[in-house]
Amino acid sequence: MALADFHAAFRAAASGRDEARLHAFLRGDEAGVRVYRNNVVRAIADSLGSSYPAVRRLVGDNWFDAAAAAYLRQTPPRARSLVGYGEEFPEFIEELATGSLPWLGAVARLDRAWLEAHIAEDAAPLTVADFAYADAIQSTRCALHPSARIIVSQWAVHAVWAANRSDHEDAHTPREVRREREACLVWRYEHEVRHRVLSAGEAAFLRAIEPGADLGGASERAQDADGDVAQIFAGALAAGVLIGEGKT
Amino acid sequence: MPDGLPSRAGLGLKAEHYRAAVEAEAEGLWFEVHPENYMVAGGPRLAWLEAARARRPLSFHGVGASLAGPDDLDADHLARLKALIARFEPQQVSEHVAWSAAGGAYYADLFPLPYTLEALAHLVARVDAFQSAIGRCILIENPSAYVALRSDMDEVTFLTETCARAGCGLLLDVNNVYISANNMGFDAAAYLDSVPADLVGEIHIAGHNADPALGPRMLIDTHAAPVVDPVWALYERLVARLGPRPTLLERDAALPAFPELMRERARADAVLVPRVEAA
Repeated sequence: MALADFHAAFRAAASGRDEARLHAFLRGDEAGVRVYRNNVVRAIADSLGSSYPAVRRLVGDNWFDAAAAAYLRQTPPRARSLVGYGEEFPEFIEELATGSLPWLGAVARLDRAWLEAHIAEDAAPLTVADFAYADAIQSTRCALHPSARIIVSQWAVHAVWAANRSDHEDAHTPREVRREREACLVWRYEHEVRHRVLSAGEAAFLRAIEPGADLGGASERAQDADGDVAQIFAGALAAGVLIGEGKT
Repeated sequence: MPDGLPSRAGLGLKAEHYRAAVEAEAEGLWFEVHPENYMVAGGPRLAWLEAARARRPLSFHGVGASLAGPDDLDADHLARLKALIARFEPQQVSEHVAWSAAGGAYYADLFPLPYTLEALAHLVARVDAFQSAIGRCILIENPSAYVALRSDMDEVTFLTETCARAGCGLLLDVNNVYISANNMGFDAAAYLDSVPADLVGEIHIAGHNADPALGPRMLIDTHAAPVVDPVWALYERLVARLGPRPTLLERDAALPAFPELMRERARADAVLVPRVEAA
């Protein structure tokens, strides 16, 4: 019997679609097919669990594993590395939990931002020294650090999310989550992922930074949002979220 | 290309233990990683792997090549793997006699193949293509079996023939042999005794668990428990026959504290060291 037929039959059995075709290839019983099927689901649930730890802690392992299995059926991985798998998981579980935890998708987006910040390209941030001879901050060309993610949510989930990234015993208990717009910055400073809630001015400034453009536009956006541009700029520099882009 | 791994006991490098592992003083220690976990743009993972590689020999043990699979070798995967090999210059590269991708989907497990003449020709061609693509000879690892497939030859014959024709070596996983012998009903010691000594470039030892539904008649290769005594006995018997070989203690889940892993690793090293000194 041809190898191609075996591959097709095993694939159908391991994904739970059809076990009958595999019987022709078996010497013993088919009990072990379930082991491979379980291994696939377990590997995906573990991978998503390590990428979305706050979500898993909040919903518990059983709910999470079921959600992971359903996500796997809808969006199987295609890359041979699972590190970045689950890009659409936040939207998927937001839909699943819409009646019970309507803010769960917002938590998941912060988990995703943490992962992306963790594995993003390395880049040396600009420091105050880079501006010692600049004529005007306004004309300096910058970009956000490759790790920086600005996550804007309609729910104020940062506190709950941050508490559930850690292993504290009481972290499970969701505090009250207000339905209120909240912008968070998640980024990596040296080898540590950091995160904090942004003021309206900071969010406006950082979101308006376009690679290759000067900071004039971003400064205007920050002023529109009643931000203190000098203070915001100094804060962004100190945090290490700006990198150089071209020459001034 | 750097020299090979030392014939001493190594440890799987886990993110939870990065600092302790890099700072460990043990003589002869080396590390193994799944390169797939390092297929990232930047950040601390790569930095820790660099720190580890600066102090210790390194082995890349791939899980994503799908060498026995129906799809073409994945060009993106090969490119990423080649870049990691160029950057970290691992002492050894290994993969599995298994498949994990079909129709473009990746299954994140090691699926089996029947030991037929057609499967042999298929695997040989793909090991050859893989080795050419990455520019390195590899070791291929015997799988854990959970189903018995109709075959033309036994596993040792299949692996021996693959190595001979593709010009690769064997990574002999003693725990996998123990699991397959238990699940399929053959004699693990007889299997190990029949493996040609000169093919074996590395040995794996690990722990396993019984399937929650089927019980001890179906053992699962979880890497989530200490090595069991019968696997230690098989390992000692194997090393007594082969002589010392680089031996990896695999532990991927239910991780104990680093010192405990190092104690288990020292037990393997104690099997190897007298024979390294005698050689």
